[in-house]
Amino acid sequence: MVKKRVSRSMVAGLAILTVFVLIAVFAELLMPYSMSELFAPYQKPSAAHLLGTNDIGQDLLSELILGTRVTLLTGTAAAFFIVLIGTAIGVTAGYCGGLTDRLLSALTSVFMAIPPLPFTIVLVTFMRPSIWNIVAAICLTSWTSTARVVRSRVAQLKEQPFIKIEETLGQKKSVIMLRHLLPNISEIVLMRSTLAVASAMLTEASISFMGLGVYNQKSWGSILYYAFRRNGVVANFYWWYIPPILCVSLCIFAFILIGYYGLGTSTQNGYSVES
Amino acid sequence: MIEINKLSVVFRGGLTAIDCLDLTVPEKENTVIIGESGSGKSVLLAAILRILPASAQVSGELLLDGTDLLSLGEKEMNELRGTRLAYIPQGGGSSMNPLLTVGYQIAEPLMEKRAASRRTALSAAVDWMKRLNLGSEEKLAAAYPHTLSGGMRQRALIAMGAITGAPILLADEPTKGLDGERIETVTDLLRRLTDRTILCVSHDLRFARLVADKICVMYAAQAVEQCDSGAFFSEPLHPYSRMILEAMPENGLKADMGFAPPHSEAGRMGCRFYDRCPRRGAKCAQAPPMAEREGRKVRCWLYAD
Repeated sequence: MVKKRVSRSMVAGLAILTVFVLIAVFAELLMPYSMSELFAPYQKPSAAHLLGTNDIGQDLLSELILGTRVTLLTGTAAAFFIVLIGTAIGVTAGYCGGLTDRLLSALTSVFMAIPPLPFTIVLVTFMRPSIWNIVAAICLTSWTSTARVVRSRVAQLKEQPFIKIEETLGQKKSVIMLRHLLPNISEIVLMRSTLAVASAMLTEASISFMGLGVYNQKSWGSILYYAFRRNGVVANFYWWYIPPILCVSLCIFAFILIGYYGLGTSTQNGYSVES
Repeated sequence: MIEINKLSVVFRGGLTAIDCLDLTVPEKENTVIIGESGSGKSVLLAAILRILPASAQVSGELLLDGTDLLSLGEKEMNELRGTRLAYIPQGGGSSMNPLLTVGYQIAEPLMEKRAASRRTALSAAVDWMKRLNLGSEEKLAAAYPHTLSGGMRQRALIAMGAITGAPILLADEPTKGLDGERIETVTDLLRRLTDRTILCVSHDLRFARLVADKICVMYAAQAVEQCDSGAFFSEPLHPYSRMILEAMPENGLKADMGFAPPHSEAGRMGCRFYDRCPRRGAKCAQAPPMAEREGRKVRCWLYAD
């Protein structure tokens, strides 16, 4: 009998993440006030404004709820493309070997040598500010570690008898890569994707914090940016800058719980066999 | 028909796995290659399928119905694999993909090589499983390889190799790990595949006796005897052939079959069997020619005149 075994860390991570996803999806319904409603600026937390107000009198809880959407969207979209590019390059290099492997590994090494955050900042500075440009900039610099990990695993797997047997049956390389190798590295790919979401969210928050984010869209990074720019930190309006920091940390923690402590340490493919 | 002319396989570092082998595999007949581990049997199958590692240097001719396989491009060769040439591998623990069902893995070559629909291919897979007597075939087709015993996995691999209907079957120890009853099932199946040309590698002489039309004995990278199966089992000529037949339990375990690769100067430069041969003479320090005698080929000075 095959029984699904899910670790407690994974359940905890999924629970936290589900809360954030629900907040992002139903942001408009959950926001106590719209962003166009203005109140007295720099208000402390109160029953009317649970996290107070910012420098122009916008409700900070509403801003935080709306920011969840951009931060999560940027993080997941970037992670999707990071894993897609990294896995495609890793599987091709690892399986084909020879010149293809040498060229793709050299390309990976070149991109690995570029410091990711400064390069992303430079790219975002010269591109038109939009979520998708930020996603593209994050992807360009972050796919390399996934490609390396996947390549090593595929290079091991391709020596397994069941892959050799597929070759003797004359299977196409694409079939072997997609149908036989990819499912066998799914655990690594899933783990890398959850870690990539965390890393991409952090990068997005850093970019927004530096004022390079999308100026007309709220994100946790942009809340922090305005808190620092408009004297929120100097005046110690902790209700302004602590909540976005907590939200980013909690969300990254949730992804790490799923990816590292959940998928990364579970038994093969999350299944254990009971006879 | 497969015709092998002066085939040599040398690995980087100088190890010769096959040394100037000539062999004809007649159409719609079963040819069994026997010999001890390291004699080059499996390398021969890998050379025919062209799946040897890049470190192997292959020379000579491998003719499949007149086409030299060694001169084909990789794409053309890949088209032959599975359609003209099918391979039945040894069924070790990792011989099947752990994440795909047994039925799907047997059916896949049919879907990929013969463009069969999924339903047709899966139904053909179940039919082949029934022919190989796997038991509870429909249920087993939906199971994963870890639930199969070694013998069941070996038979599933036979089905996987044979399902496309390729006219030439190359089998690498198809009875390895099977008990007597299962060996009989596999033997029956191979004997009933009269429309196929089968080249099989085996250690199992009893299996070879039941299946083979023709026997090729390999020793230390060379073919030392080639003849019809009946003649081989009734009157082996080469001293090594005699030794392995005498070592069979039904022949009274007469010979001491201790493994010893050629180690003396004469063994390396002359007859490879020199160091173990009970009938060696002065001439045997020179390499013996492949002598022909009544349609049989023997690499031994005893028959060179």
